[in-house]
Amino acid sequence: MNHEVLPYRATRDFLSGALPFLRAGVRGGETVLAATGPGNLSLLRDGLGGDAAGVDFVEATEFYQHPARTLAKCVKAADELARRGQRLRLLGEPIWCERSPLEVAEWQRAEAIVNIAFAGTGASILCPYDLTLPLPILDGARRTHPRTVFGANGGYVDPWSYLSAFDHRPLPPAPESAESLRVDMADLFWLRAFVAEYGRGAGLGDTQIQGLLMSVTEVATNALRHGTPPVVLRLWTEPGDLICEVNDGGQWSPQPGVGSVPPETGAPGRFGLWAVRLLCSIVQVRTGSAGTTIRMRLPAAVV
Amino acid sequence: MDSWFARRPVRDMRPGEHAGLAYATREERDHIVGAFVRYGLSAAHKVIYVSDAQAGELPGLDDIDPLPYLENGRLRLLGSARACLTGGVFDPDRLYGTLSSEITRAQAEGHRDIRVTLDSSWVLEQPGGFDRLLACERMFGEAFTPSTTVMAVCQIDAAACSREQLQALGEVHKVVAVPDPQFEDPVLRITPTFQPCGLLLDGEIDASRHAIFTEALWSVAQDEREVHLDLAQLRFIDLGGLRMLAEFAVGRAERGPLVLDHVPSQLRNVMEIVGWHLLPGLRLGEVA
Repeated sequence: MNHEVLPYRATRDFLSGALPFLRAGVRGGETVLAATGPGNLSLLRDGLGGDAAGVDFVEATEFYQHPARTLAKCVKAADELARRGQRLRLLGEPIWCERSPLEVAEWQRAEAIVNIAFAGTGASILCPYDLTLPLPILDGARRTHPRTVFGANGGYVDPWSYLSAFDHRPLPPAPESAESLRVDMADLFWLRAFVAEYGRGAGLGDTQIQGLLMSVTEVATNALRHGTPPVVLRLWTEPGDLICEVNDGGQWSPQPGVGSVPPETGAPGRFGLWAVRLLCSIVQVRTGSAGTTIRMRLPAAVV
Repeated sequence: MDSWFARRPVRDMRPGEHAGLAYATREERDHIVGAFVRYGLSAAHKVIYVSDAQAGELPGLDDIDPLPYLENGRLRLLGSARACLTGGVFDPDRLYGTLSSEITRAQAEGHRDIRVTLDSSWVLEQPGGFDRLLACERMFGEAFTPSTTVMAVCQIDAAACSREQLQALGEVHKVVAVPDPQFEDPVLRITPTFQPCGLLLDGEIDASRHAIFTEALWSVAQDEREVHLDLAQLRFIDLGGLRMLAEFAVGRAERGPLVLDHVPSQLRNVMEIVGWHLLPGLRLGEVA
């Protein structure tokens, strides 16, 4: 597995890194995917000439919709190829502008997770970063890619430590106005009735509500099982989002990045918190002196 | 039989109910009739059973020994020759007469709850058998329905009847006898199904009912066919429950697939998002 960053300022730099990467894949008979903005896509098509036929070009807006789902899809593809003795080659330029700080953080986490999730698949991933991007984003790229196109990257940080640092950033407190409910029974029937009603009020669709109920049930069950009472559920809305968090008094989630990595496929195993990440748009896990909090967000239509 | 008839779990049957049971498999018949007879015997009802089986062979009685009930008269086992044959031919008037006098006798003995059951599938093999059976059922219908003491389950092998015949039989029975739930609380009900073999899930499944759910899955695990779960009425299943389904499916993959029928669309969408590769072995059957 290879995960390289391609820092570029000029088109020339972008192409001189991207074209040889894609060509090598096409000529080596690999499954080659390029996901970037429309401008760069057309530069790549033109630059590749006849080799363009061997590349699957995808608009970044379509490819980078949801960090966990994008990861899941790519890792699954890479796994399936690896099982057939083949390899995935991906040029991926995430969207950084127009993202909220929360979304940026999720995509930065995804860059770190790539190093864990694709290990053993033989996949080759090249991530172009425009050097005019804000410094924190470039800094993230430096920490999450073991290599640059020029060679080893001294700034690379172990992905688990990187995730751990993220998962220790304090969360803003829930607003005073949040709906709050004590969870003290293993039977979560009434909790779900309450959450479903709130979700409908916030304009969630049926599938979103189903996903929210599964997420809340999973997280509350974990808190009841492994946490320390009191377990409290809070619900509130922010513009465009429904937020649901479960807090308990324990520190039962010591592993950084828990549930962040797609589980092994093919055999049924534990996938609870990973599935929660697929079902919600953003999931934040925090453990500390204030206990353990899992905060889940879903896009809400009416707020 | 069609769904506009009241479906009555056998434990909920009341006097005056004349239920039809068009069974698809022997297991289904034994399950339902066994329960009908068991409830009667254990509640000190009178049970009138028209069958050529020996008492020891009566199906579905589980650990109830019928012999003491035969001796004390609570169970009347009537062979078909005596009960309803005239010159080897099914005779509706004779059956009606036999049952009427048995019922009158039971009432005279002071029984206020009387259960009657018979399997008349064999009548269909006789020329003109169906018409005579239908005539007989009509007489029963008129006799039993106003009764405050008698309830009946009339068994027929669905495979031995045409669609029209089933329809006609359905019309003379006010209710359809269906299996009792094997588990029921205010949140979840699990009922066995026989055609296809499996379970009907109604309600919500989360960690507080995982043990019950596992037990229910085990009850159908040994079947050598496809196992179907009907999820039409399943309003919630947690991720742990989905994982249990996948584990169950993988565990019995050699016997046959686990098919999920009538999966509500929002649940199907969520399973899609979680990814079928994390839920191996599950197959979607009939759509909701």
